[in-house]
Amino acid sequence: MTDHDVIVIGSGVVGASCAYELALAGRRVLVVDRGNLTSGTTASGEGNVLVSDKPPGPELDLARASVSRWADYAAELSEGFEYEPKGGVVIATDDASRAGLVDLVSRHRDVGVSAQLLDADGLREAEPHLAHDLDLGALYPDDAQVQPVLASSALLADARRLGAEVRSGNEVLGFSFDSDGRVAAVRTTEGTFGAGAVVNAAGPWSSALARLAGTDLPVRPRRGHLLVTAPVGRLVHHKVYEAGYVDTLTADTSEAQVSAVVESTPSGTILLGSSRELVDFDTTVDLDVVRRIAQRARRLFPILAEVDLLRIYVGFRPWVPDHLPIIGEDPQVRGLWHATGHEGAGIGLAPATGQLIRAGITDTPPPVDPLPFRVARPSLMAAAAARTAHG
Amino acid sequence: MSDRRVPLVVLGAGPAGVAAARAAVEARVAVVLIDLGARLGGQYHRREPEAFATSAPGALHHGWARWSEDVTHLERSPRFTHVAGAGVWAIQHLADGGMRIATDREDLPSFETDALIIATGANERVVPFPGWDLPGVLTVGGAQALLKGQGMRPGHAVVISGAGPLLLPVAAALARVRTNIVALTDANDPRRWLSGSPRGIPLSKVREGASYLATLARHGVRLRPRTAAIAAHGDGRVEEVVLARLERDWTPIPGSERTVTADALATSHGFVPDIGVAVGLGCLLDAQDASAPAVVVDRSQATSVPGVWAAGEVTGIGGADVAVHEGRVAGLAAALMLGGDVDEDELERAIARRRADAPFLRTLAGVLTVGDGWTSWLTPDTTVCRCEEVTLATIDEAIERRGACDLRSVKLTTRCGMGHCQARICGPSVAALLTARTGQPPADAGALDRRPVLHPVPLGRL
Repeated sequence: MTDHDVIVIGSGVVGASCAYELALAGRRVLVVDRGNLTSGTTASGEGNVLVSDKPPGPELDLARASVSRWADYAAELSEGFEYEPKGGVVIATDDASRAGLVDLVSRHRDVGVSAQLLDADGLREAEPHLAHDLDLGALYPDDAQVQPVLASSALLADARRLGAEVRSGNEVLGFSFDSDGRVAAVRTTEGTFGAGAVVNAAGPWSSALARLAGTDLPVRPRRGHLLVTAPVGRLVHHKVYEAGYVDTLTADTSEAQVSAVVESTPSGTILLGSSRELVDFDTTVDLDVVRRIAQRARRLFPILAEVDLLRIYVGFRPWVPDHLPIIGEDPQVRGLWHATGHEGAGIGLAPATGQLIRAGITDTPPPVDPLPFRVARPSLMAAAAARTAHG
Repeated sequence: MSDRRVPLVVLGAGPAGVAAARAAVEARVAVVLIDLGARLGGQYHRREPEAFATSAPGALHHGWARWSEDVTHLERSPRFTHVAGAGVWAIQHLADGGMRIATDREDLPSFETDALIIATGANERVVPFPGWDLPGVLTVGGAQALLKGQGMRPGHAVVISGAGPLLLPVAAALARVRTNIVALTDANDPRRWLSGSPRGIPLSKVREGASYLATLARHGVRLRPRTAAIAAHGDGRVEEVVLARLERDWTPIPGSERTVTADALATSHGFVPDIGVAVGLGCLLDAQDASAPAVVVDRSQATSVPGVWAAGEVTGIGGADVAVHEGRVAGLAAALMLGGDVDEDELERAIARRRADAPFLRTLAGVLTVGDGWTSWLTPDTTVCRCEEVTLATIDEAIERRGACDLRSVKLTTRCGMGHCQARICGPSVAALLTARTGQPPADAGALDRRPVLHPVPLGRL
């Protein structure tokens, strides 16, 4: 006899999507979060829903499924979340990125992603405030944006309407197993809750959670800074970023990688990203990184020099060594499912992740091939082996 | 970045900051004092610009002699640097234990320091009510600044309404320059302390209060206790103010409402410590009152963060005299740690003097209360966050429909506190509303005071 069918650990956007999808499938869901609801990675993100930054491959497939599911959510959820299918514009800011951008656009078009190269005039038409010397970019109409906390809370609100229970301030202390070694219950600061399956959606904290269950995940926090300006109205019409951004995604250094991502929000503010550093859970705002982000953003939009900086968010992305989300049941701990490792793409990839978890737990057809995201994949095993050798 | 490294930075040029700077300079420690204002004084000793100087300098100020002496001494010291007109927009902990203080002054962009004294004072608290966002409504402190700074009255027919010790001096100052004061109301009953009965209220304060009342009486202005402006109406600006008698907890007494004609309403309901810098540095807070968290300090004004002291209103509302006592302790204690020339007996004497303020502070805490009943003044369409135009209905919806039960969730789902003032005005109201709605204080008191950008700064200055 269990209290719930599924316990989802983590109330960020990935946990919220898993909870909603499972509740839609009629499962009795409990969501627990040790902190306040949606207060971790999701609360410090930009709300990227992007296909443009993912080269053809399994992550792009997941992204395309998610883009379409976000549109469903916008139509069917009871609460709004500032969904904006406004498209993305990628800019080549130096010679090195020009050839790369042309190549990426061509590969995207080969697999059916809408993408269109823009010359100087095209850029000016798309984004009138861009620096005048920029003359090569690409338009991706399928890129979108959501307000991440509103999106998560909207998913959780409808999950609740479908019978799910959501408990914040409830920290997982450990797991209990049945005689077959299957997860049977979660022990928390508020008591023990039984369930047939548990979903680990704890983002950058998911490896610590996996250890509590006696298993191992190679997820580490990758810190980012996000700058928010005072409200100034719509200066920027798309999600605009420099082509070099795609390279920073895979440059795994502890030194901060900075590239400009600029976009307006419905409230009139402008979001300026981004930085990536593997520096553990250090919440210090690094003013040098802040300056570098501001400078790169001004390289794209010189008009930003006059705009006031109002807020800075520091957050942690769940990084994995092979840069692919981990979605699936743990091969060592049956009944424990992972939905983590999305790094900076968790908002964009959350819906299809929730669908994959739903398909896995309810044994129904998945939206995309789940195999590339499995826990025991060779690229992760190799990283784990290397860690053991060094350790 | 080329940063100047200095031993001690004091943030804030009010009574506490100046007392701290003077104590440290006397101990032969070099001090950089940073403040947004053009001159020393902060909000308390705000001085008339030279052009408006009255024939009796300081006529509108209390405690002027001691203050002038401190300022003269400081300004003569070669160890003292006053960085005026500088907004500190960020503070970063450095790996060597120091701190980097980033300002928006183009010529002095940032400092590195070994030690910091936070003397950032307090912000006026304004309880929202229907119409409080109309032009013509201003804070009591705003009315005072208008008078002291520009020699201007806030209007032709002025209602002064709120709570706390600022009401009387500002009303008296306005009366002195023959402002038409339509009504002067305090939501609490200040006669309790004006009569001199509560323990610890110094006779000088009682006399001060009595002199304000006498001035007001000479100009025909009577203070109405347990009364408040609970709404303002007007087409495009204030034309009418609704006054109501209140229960002890500030719940309006039904049927007691009456409407007066006015073109200005000066209103505020006490002060809340300006803890933004302290929150950013990770200082421990006392959040017993979730609407007004204060920085926790030990007997020598040290915060929980090594190298950081706090003095004045930021540690709890106590007024200028207590702020001076705390500033002196903090200045001496910081100087001692920095190897300055400090006689430890002198520090002990300063600590003892600050300790003698304890009975006064206890009484003050009982007098300066904000009754929970104000939440019943609001209607669903009353604006709570003026910067982002967030109404009570939006906040209630976030609590009821989205399950927001902490300050950060309310902020992120409603935009409350995300605007230019960064929750300095609406923060206390949101905390109180959340407490009223959920039946318990929010678990993350102080969260709305977390401001990585302490002061808006143009991106071009970075």
